[in-house]
Amino acid sequence: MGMIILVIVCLLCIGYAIATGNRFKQLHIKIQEAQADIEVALIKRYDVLMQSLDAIKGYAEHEEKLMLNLIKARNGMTTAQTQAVLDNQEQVLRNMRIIGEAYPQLYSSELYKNLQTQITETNEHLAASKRLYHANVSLYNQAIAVFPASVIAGMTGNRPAEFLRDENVETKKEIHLR
Amino acid sequence: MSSNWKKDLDDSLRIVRNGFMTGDIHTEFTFSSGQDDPNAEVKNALKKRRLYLLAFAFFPAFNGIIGGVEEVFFRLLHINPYGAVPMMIRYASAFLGTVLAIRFIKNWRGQSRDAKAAYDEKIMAKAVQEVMPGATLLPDDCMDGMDLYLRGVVPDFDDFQGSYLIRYEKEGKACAFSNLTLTRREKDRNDRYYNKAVFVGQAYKLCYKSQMQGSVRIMTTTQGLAGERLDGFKKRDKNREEKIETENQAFNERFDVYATDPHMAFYVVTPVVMEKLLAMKAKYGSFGVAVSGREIAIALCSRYYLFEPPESYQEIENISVEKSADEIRQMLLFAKLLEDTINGKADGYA
Repeated sequence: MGMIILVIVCLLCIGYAIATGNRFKQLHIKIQEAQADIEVALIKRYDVLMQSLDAIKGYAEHEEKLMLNLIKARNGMTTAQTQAVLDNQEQVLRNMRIIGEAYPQLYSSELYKNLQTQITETNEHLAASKRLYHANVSLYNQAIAVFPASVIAGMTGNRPAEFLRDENVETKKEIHLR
Repeated sequence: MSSNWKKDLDDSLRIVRNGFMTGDIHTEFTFSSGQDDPNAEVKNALKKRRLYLLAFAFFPAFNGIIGGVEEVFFRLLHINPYGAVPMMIRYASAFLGTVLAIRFIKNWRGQSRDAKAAYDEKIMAKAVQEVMPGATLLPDDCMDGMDLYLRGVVPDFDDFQGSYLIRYEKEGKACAFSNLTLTRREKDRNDRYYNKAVFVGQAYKLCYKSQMQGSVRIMTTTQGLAGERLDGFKKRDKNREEKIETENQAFNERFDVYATDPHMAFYVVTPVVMEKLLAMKAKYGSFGVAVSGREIAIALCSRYYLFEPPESYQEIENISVEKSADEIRQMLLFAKLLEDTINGKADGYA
């Protein structure tokens, strides 16, 4: 009788471990999907920023220190690489604003207005992707932190996922080409 | 002596009339004068409708008096009240009473129809044109309940009805709103069917800023009608939709968000939108929003109808195009707030 109970308990434990492990995998896949979503948004913003840089080149020839090289966004980046691309694009946007303030006539062109609309749109999509990523990371981190799932997480090598840094939320609101 | 008796009777009748017609014995019931009131025709039509109701309420008492008079008459003349002639008189008076009652009901219904037509034409139509020039008012029509259900902003229902459909164009796109009631046939404890109201309020169709792939639905989590908890808005379609948990816990407690693509949910439901929706829930109560394609469908569970012809004497006296126009403006304000919020345009919450 005691043996049967022991076997049932073992089976339940194994079942729980498998179910929990699968849950971690599902959450991990969601994080990967969200990360891919961010990459798509970054690539889109990279394209728009390249066009914008081309457009302001003529105005800012002597502002070389402000003309940063854009890091090319691509698929399959690590979190650290994604963060680096994000920071780089934010810095480029900030510099563009500085250049724009120095050359007000730049704003009057139709091309600039279109680019501004596109940047706003890509920023909104990027913000949505980042929030989706953070929501999934938060769910995953919560799932692996609570007992007894934390034991399974430790055994299967599931480590907390990293959030993306979001240092300048307030200043980002102002970063537009106009 | 005789003049006192008459005066007392007049006073009593006036008190009864005022009480029934105005709900307050000290408020004098009068028909409006056409010279100093441009809305007198509509007001008088609505007052007449009330008068018919009053007369109809007195009808059983009047029948009773006739019956009593007949009884006294038979006894005074020593006629057997159950003889052939008295029975014929009784049947004849009952028949006449029935004919009169039918006529009364017919007149009352006719008067109600006329009063509503006058109200729609002379008050509502003018108010709509004042607030929204070029808009179309269809007083007896409403938003399509099935369309709203398929968009996911209203619960499952068997029948829908409503009123005051207003269609207008905004930046070249068709928008509309109306009153709406959804009912479902349900069984009571005794296995008898009854119609349960699952939604009473206003429905809107507005424009979204861009073409959205899939759909995002945002719905308040609890609704109630006269203390009864409603079944809520449309349930989650588990094959297509995901439940979205946002980073705002207060928002998650008050709203359910379902989306076919989580990215689009986070695109629509931004932190600013969440704060504004929370403020709007506190002010307006329960509502559901569905964004799909280029359209925003909204169902506001206000539990009352707007724009309907008033019933009480005081409200009838206060009828005016300006008042109805204000009501439309209030309805539009809610629509605009929500539309701007979802489109990320609103700068501040009014």
